[in-house]
Formats: sequence, structure tokens, C-alpha cells
Amino acid sequence: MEKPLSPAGFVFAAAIFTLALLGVSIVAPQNPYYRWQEHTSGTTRKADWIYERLHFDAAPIDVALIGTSRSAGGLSGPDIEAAYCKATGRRIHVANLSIPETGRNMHYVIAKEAMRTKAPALTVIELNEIETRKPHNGFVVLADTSDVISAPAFINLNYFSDLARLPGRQALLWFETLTGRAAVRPRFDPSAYPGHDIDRTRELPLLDGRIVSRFTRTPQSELDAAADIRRKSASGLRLPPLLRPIEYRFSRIYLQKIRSLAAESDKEIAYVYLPAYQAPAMPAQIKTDLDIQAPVINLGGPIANDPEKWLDATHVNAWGAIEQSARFADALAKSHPALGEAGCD
Amino acid sequence: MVFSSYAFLLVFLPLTLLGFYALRAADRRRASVTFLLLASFAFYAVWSVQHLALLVASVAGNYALGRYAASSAPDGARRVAMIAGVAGNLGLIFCFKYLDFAGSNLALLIGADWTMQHIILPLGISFFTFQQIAYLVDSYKTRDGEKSFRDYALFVTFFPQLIAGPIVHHRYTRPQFAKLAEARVNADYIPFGVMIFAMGLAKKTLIADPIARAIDPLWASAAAGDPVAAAAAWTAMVGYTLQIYFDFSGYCDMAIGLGLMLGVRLPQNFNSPYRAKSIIEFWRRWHMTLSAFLRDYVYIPLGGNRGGETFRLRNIFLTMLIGGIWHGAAWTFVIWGAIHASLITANHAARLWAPQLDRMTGPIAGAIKQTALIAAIMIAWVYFRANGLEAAHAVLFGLVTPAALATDTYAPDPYVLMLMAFAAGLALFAPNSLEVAGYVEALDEPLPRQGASGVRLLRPTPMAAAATAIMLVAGLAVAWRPAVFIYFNF
Repeated sequence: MEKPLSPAGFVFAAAIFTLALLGVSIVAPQNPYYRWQEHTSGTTRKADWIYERLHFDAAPIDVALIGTSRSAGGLSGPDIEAAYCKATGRRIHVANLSIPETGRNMHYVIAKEAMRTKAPALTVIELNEIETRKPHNGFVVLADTSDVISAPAFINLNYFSDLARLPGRQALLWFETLTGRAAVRPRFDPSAYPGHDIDRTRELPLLDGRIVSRFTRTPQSELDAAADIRRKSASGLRLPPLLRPIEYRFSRIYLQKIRSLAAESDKEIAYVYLPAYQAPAMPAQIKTDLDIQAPVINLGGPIANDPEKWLDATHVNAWGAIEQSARFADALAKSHPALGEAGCD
Repeated sequence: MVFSSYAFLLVFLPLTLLGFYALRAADRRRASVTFLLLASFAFYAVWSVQHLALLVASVAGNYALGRYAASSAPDGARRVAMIAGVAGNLGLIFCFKYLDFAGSNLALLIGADWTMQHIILPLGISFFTFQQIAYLVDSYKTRDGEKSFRDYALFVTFFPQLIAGPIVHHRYTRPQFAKLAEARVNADYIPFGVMIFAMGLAKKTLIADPIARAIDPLWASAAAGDPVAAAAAWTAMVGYTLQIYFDFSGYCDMAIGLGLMLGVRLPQNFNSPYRAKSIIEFWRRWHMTLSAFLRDYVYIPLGGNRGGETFRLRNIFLTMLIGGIWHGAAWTFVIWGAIHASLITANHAARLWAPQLDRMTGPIAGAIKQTALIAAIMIAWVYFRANGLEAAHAVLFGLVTPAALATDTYAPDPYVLMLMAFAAGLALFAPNSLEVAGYVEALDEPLPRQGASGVRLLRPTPMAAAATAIMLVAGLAVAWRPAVFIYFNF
């Protein structure tokens, strides 16, 4: 029979075993395809398609769009491809890899996956009138283990909770991989793959199987009220000048990482400004705050003030997306006229 | 702060243990007890600062009344103080918990057109008011009240038991808190505290919560008025029977484990209730401190067995009905209480008038009794869990709906079924965590209990440390989506 430990010895042994198990759980083998199926945005799921597009679809990606739900529902890949082709005579593949919710760390995760699989010639990153200071809640679901551990801890509200959640995520993924119990499907099924042109600007499939049309308008009074609330809550958000250098440190770190990834592959980065309803033209401060040197496609202006084009105060409806996509393609054709290959389908 | 959340596991608990033992290491034992009190207030304040004010006011008021009820003042005046205190506590719980329900039903009855404001229930109010009612009555009877406000406040608010029990008697914690302020903590308690806490965490996070996630949509669907197919109804009912078992059992283990880590024993509250062979035995094993409270402060004041057998049966029925209503202000809880009251009254009546039934204790008779008991308890749980009578009846109707008539084709997840089968095996056949830890609540007995229970006792060996670590890591692994304990709602 084992000899009992002293109380202190027991607590010490349990702590050592706990730390060892946590370490083991972090390196447990797992299938990343399963990991990308784990992420949902509450009512929708898209990360599984992103992984499939990047890993299982042979079609190249010339332009990758990375942003929030504003891009996901506001920029149509097929529309951009068609308009670009009309303007330049060249065929491009646009993949809208945007995922709802804000947080630059998520943009980095997606950009990293895109760079190592498809290395898009141009990666376009979304900018908004108010840059978030928060990390993305889905980061811990999708990021590589090393990225969760090495995330900036300073001014990162999720760092410690992400770190604490990591062993659980790893253990769950290990179990799912072992048993073949993926959240959606255990292996890639070409017949279930919706194709490289999925477009969520017209309709949005929900997790419960319903499909919501985005050809919907919201009464102007509601839009105005929501815009008013946003304006009031945004005023006075800035930190005092002394603390400005750290205010957007988190975003800058991840945008810099994305730029480095692109530079390593000799690829280009651009930005697209997508404002909310009644938001001003792109504030000059954003470029300084985020240390942006690359060109910005500015989609502010008429749409922002046209209540007919909005689903709610932060998302355009399908008509808004059609107009926004056309303007984007037009700007893209002017700034990058030689993307893709000659000839249109 | 749920015990199984990161905020508790990674922040509150380590900081509390660190502060408590750092003060003790500096020979500031009294300060360490005060620190525990402040930590308990902080624990409660995380939920609601306003309700913390209510809790502190309740503690202060009861402390003052208790002091007076135990004083050398004339008996009549002391009695008035005690009754005022009990009435005040009952009034508080009525206002927060039952006023809405009573008002709504009264409006329905008299056809009035008033709308009740839904008042947010302060967490743990049913527990801390009951605990203080018991204190007031005991102080009055024994003329022995708590002199130290700190110790009294800690008796009520000690965070391991504040929110969902066990309902502790003052005479049980008083010597322990006094000792804590003067003497060393028994270091032997700590490994057992960690082990029992880890077992509770595993029960909650690895069994109760996954089952809950699987069956909650079924109950929600029933509440939405959707028809419930037989498979869904059975999964919902059996699943909840197991969920509440492991949820409450896990909570009780965690509470006892936390107490031990801080050098305090708490009374046993859960003792493998599904192994009971009768409803009387069930209530001696389920929420044991509530059963004891109801016996001492409801059944006996109602007259107990002092007025003949029929009178006794009436008192038993009323006591259990009150126990049911204590769980919540809804007709579902009234029916749940009435089912249990009927069963336990029938059980007592059978002992009285058909004792041969009670004497049938062979393995077959025992199995039949246990099966019948669990079936009855499961049906009662349907009322306990359902969001309204319609939902309860939809599930009960679904149980007997032939598959051919079902409009829904629900297929239970095989992994959930496996988990439920495993959980049922543990609940019915395995020794419980306090048995394997050799836990004993009697303060005059050494802890852990030495041998004689027929169970191979857990000892703080390296193997036990490894098993504890596995349970802690597994619990931590799923702690990112902590679910509130069911008994937190009462």
C-alpha cells in the first residue's frame, strides 16, 4: 500500500501533476479542420468554410477580404470579381474571409492561415470609424496554440482567460479528433462544400437552418436613433494624450504581424474603410493610430447617409452591399489593375 | 461566482487561500478569520452589491435580535424578539420570492388587473434566512447567542455554504470559528479538502453540465409548446434526474472541500439518495440539512407526533409541501412538493397500517421498491424542472406517446446516452465521494474516519494526488462555459 504523503507533500504533488497534465493537454494531437468547425458567431458559422476554402479548394485566391460582419455582409466576392473583370478584362478570385465580431487578433489568425495556404496577391483588411480595443472572442477557438500563448498580455482583456481555456480546448479537440466527432463533419465532403464563391451579402444562413434575407430595410427613425447612441457612446472614448501610444497597441501589434506575413511572401496589404450608418468620412487619426502606410479604399460617403442601404446601424443591407461592392471593385481596378489572369469567363 | 468558473478557480480561491494562510503564518489568526468574512462578502458582492447590502442588513438585524433573545431579559420580551426575527426573515423571503407569485395568482382569482413587478431574487436568500431562523429559535431556547458579530456574520456568510447550503446550525460552526481564531488549522484537512473539491468539480463539470447541455433544448422545446416525442421525453426526464443529482452532489462536495481547505467542517448534505429503498430514506439522504431543518423548525412546531397518528401524518404532509414550495414560487414546485408530501405520508401510513410491506427487505423486494421509488422521483422531477405546467405535461405525455404517433424524430446522442448510463451506474452502485474520503461531520470524531465503512478509503497518496490532478484539469478544461448550480436558483 502506498505511503500517505504529508499535507504539504500532497498539495505539492497535486500541483505538479496538475501542471504536468496541463502541459500534456496543450501538446495533445488534434485535427485543425475540427478546430475551425468549432467556431460560431452565435447564430452563424463561417470558419469551417474558410478552412475548406483555404485547404481543400484548388482555386487560387487573388484578393482576400479580412474583417468583421461589416465586410462579411457588405462586400460580395462574386460582384467584385465581375465588376473587376468588366473594368480590367482580368479574372480574379476574391475570397471573403471575414468573420463577425471585432478584434485584430482574429484577422491575424485568418491572414496567417491564408498566407500559408494560398498566399493571396492582395489581402484587404477592414477599417472602421472606431477601432476596437478589444480582442476577438473567437481567437482562442481558432488560433494556433503558440499564438494563444505568445499573444500580447499587456492591455489584452482576454489573455488570461484565453490561456486558461487553452487546455480545455486542446483536450476537447484531442477527444474529437480521436473519436471523429467534429462539430460539423469529420472529413471534407465536396458535395457539402458550398463552393469558393459563397456570398453572404444577399442572405445569411443561420445555425438553426433558417436563411435570413438581407434585402431588408430598417425605418430611418430606428437607424437615426441607433446612430445617435453610437455617436454619444463614442465621444470621449479616447485615452488622454499621455496614454495614446498604448491605446491601440493591441491592434497595431496584430496588423504589424499581418504585414510581416505578407512581406515574407512578397504579397501586398491594403485596407478598406467601411463606416457605420451616418459615420463620418474616414478619420485621419486612424492611419496614425494603427500605423497604416498602405493604400486605403475609402467606402465612406453617400452610402453612409442613405437609410435605404442599411440593415441596421452598422451593417448595410443587400442593396448597400451591391453598391459598396461596385465601388470597391472600381477602386481596386484603379489601384491594382493587374491582379489575377487575363481574360474573363 | 460559480465554484466551477475561472473567476473562482483561478482568482478568488487562490487569493483567498493565500490571504488566509499568509495571515495565519504571520500569527494573525483572528485577522485571518476576519479576512474570511471579508472574502465571503466579496464573493457575494460579485453577484450584486445591492444584495450584499441586504445580506449585511439581514445579518446585523438577526444578530441584534439573537443577542436579545438569548439575553437575561424577561421571557416574554425575548419571545417577542424571537418571533419578530422569525417573522422578519419570513417576510423578507416572502417579499423577494413569493410576492410576485402570490400577487399574480390573487389577481387571477379575483379578476384584478394589476401587473406584478418581477423582483430579482437575492442569491441564497432561502438559505441564509433559514439558517438565521434556526439561530433565533435556538438562541431563544438555549439563552445562548453569539457574542462576536464577526463570528456570527461568518456563520451566515461563510462563502462555501452561503449560496446553496448546507444549512448549518450555529452550534456546529461556533466552536470551529472560535478555534480558527485561536488555534492552528488541522493540516490533515487540507488534502481531503482538495480531493473532495476535485471530485465535486468533476461531478459538476464532467457529468451534470454536459447532460444539461444535451437536455436543455428538449425542455426549452417543451416550454415553447412543441410536441415532445417519446425518446425526447425519456431523455429529458432521465437526463434531468441525473443532472440534478450530480449538480447538487457536486456542489455539496465542493462546499465541504472548500470548508476543509479553510479548516472548517461542514455537515454532510448528500448521501447517495438514489440508493434509497423508500421515500423516507430518500429524504434522509437528499439535501439532508434541509430535511433536518424542516423537521426541527416546521414539523415539530406544527405539532409533530403529539396529537395522534392522523395528526402526525397531516404534519408530515404539510411539512413536505412547505419544503416543496421553499424551492420556488411556481405551481410546478407546489405539485412537486405535493407529490413528495403524498409519497412520504403514504410511506409513513404504510409503516403504520401495513408494516409487513416495510419488513420486505430481500434483494428482489428491495430492487422493486428502489425501482418504484426512482420512477416516482423521476416523474416528480419533471414538475421540478419544467418551465410551467404545460411543459411538464407535454413531457409526461411524451413519455407514453407511441413512436408511430410522434411528429418529431428526435434521436439522442449516443455519447450522451453513454454518459447518462455511466452517471446512473455511479449514482446507484458506487460509493459516494464522502464515503471514499472517509468524511465524518461529527466534530468529536477524527477526520478522516478510520476504516469500518466497508469502503476502501482514499488516502493522500501520490496516486490520489494524480487522480485529484486529473479531475482538476478536466474540470478546468471545461470551466470556460460554467453553468450555475441548480440550487443557486432557490
